[in-house]
Amino acid sequence: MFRVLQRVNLTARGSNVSKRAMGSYYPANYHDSEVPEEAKTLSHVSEQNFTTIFGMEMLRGSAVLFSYFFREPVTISYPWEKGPLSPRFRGEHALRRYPNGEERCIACKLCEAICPAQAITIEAEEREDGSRRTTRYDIDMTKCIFCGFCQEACPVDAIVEGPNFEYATRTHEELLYNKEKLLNNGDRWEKEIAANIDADYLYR
Amino acid sequence: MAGNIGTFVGFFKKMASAPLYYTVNKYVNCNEFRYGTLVGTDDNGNEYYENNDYFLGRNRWIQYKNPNWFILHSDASDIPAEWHAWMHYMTDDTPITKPPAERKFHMEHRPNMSPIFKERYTPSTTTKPKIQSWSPAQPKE
Repeated sequence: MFRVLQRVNLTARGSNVSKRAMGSYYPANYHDSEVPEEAKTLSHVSEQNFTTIFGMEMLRGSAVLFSYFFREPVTISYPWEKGPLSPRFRGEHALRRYPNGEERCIACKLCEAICPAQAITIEAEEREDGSRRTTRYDIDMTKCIFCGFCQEACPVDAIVEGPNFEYATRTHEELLYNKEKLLNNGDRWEKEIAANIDADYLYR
Repeated sequence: MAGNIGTFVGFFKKMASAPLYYTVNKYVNCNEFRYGTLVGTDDNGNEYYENNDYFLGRNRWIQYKNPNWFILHSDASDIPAEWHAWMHYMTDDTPITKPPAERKFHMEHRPNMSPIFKERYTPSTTTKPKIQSWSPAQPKE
C-alpha cells in the first residue's frame, strides 16, 4: 500500500522522481547530484496527495484575495479627496500685495538673475509718483522648473509659488504669464498664501 | 467597495432616515457609499465633509455642487483658496473656525477657465512698444 501511494504521488508530480528510490534502474556506481529526499511517512504522502487533488494552493490564494474585499481600500479618489500638501508647496506663481493694496514688487530683478531656467523677464520704469515698479513681469511657465529660487531670492516676498497646481491649459500661450495674470493669481490666492507664510515664520 | 466595517455600518445607520435619496446622492456625488459630518459650505455651494474613521487622505472630502441630476460637475479647481488649505491637510483650521483676514484687493475665486474659449487667459504685453514703425506708403512732404 505504501509503495503504491508513493508511486502514484511521484508520477503525478512528473520529473521530481527520486532516483535513489528507484535504485535498481541505475548502475551501482551511478552518482546522483540531486539532494536525496527525506524518507516519507504515510501521513506525509497522504497530505501531499490531498493538496494536489483538491488544489489547496489555489484555495489559499483565493482566501487572501477574498480577505481584501473586507479591507479598507488605499486609493484616494482624486476630485473628491485630495492628498496632503506641504505649506511650502511650490505651485503656480503669484505676485503679492501689501495689506493696503500696494504691489510689493520693486523690480530689483533678483528673481530674474537667479532663475536657472531663465523663465522670468522684467522691465522696470519710474512710476508717476516716483517709485520704481515693473512695467513687464513675464514668466514662461513652460520653462519654469519650479525650483523656488525666485521666492527665496525675493527681498519683499512679492513673487511666491502658491499652493495651486490645477492650472493645466489647452494651449501653450496660456502658460506665458504676464504681470496682470500674476497679480490676479496673488489676489485670488492671497488668503492661503498669507496663512502658509505665517505658518513658516520660525524658519524664515 | 466595502471600506472598514465601522464606516460601512455607520453608513447604513445614516441611510435609515432617507434611504433612496441618501444612497443615490452619496454614490453619485462622492463616488462612494460614505458618511461624515458636514464641516462647511463655500460660496459656490460645494460641501465639505470630514470623517476621521477613514485614514489620512480619505478623511476629508468635497461634494461638488452639481447644476442638475444629469450633468455631474466635479472640477478640483473649483475649491477656493480658503478651503484649499484644509482640503489638502495643510491646516486643521477651516475658514469657519479661523476666518482669513479681509483685504479689499481679494478677488473672487475662479476655476480653471482653459476649457472655455472666451474666458481663458490670453497673454498680452504690458509695456509700450519701443520702436515706432515706419510706413513707406506715406508720401514724403
